[in-house]
Amino acid sequence: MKTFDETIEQTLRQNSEWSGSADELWSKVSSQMQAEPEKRIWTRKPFLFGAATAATVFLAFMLHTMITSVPPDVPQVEEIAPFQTFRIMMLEEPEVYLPGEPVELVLSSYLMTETEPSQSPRLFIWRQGDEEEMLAGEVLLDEEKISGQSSLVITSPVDPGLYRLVVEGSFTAGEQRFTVFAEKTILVEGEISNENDEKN
Amino acid sequence: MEINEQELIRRAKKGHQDALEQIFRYHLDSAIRLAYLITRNWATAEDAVQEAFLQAFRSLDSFQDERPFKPWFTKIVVNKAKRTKDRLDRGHLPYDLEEPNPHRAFAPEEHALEREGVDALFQAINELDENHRLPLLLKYVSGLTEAQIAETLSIPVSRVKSRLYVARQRLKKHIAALEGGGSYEDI
Repeated sequence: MKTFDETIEQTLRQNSEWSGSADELWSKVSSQMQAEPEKRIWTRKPFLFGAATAATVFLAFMLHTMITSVPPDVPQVEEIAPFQTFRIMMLEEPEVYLPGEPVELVLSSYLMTETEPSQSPRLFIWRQGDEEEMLAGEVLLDEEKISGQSSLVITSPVDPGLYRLVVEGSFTAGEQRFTVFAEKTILVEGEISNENDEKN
Repeated sequence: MEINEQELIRRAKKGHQDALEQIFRYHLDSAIRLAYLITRNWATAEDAVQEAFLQAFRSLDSFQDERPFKPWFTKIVVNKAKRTKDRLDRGHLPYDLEEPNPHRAFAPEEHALEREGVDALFQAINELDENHRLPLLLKYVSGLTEAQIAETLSIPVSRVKSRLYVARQRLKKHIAALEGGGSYEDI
């Protein structure tokens, strides 16, 4: 019985049989190579004109920037809403891990506002199902392990699948209360990892 | 066919036509298949491959001998084919992939069910979005490794792995839905 890999390969092969002539195509390629020998790019007039124009524009831009530029406003970490962070993270493709492999979550901490509710930091493990996400696990995190840290290392789930790992909550450092947030989407490979073996 | 690729490329760089022709014939099959599966049109696939060979041969001086030729050349084929496909899409020229492939031949003893399975799987592959379809083609048509696919598509290897995984899962799901079961689940 064929493996799925072999079936895919066979399917693509059977549906891409070329009936053209290699001789004809080679004669086109070789005749074009002889008829139109490629000039060195720097000897072409359009290239020289283009390069000179580009250099002039670049220099003018740099000069203008040096004269008129003001330091850009750098948003403080406190200003970045968790929702924005979430949207940015979701645009990225999942990183691939083996079951039980360490996964590093980058923590974003910022001073809590008065209106934010204080809650113990938790790790939420969301699993992507066919239609919707399901909460696969929830772990209460030790505040001391979060406080002042820039990352948190956890262990990837054992079951293969697509997961969204979210850290949310707050902790105290000194006399101030901070909100902490982290999110990462990962793909846990299982037995299918053998299929990913590279061809030699 | 056993060829000493590095030696061929060294000779091709010196302008030996026979070396260029050997490189052409050695890489033509997978290049034309790949270009066709990207452009979905034989005529434009031939144009794309012709342009790719021309560009590759003209740029041979910049190619490092010790590197494998295939990933470098495949990247050129992919770019040419994608550009041609974009032109096709903008020009609303007809695709011919959805028509039965006249060149596809099944052995007489091949079972009708297997043929249907191949058609269904091919349809499912064509329904994949390009981000997941292209790595699949590079793996199964061009025979590139995951690292080479990553280099060709300028994305990290982990992303290639995840795209291949997701693509295969979608194909399995599609086939299982058509067959009313999960014939590949245990593989």
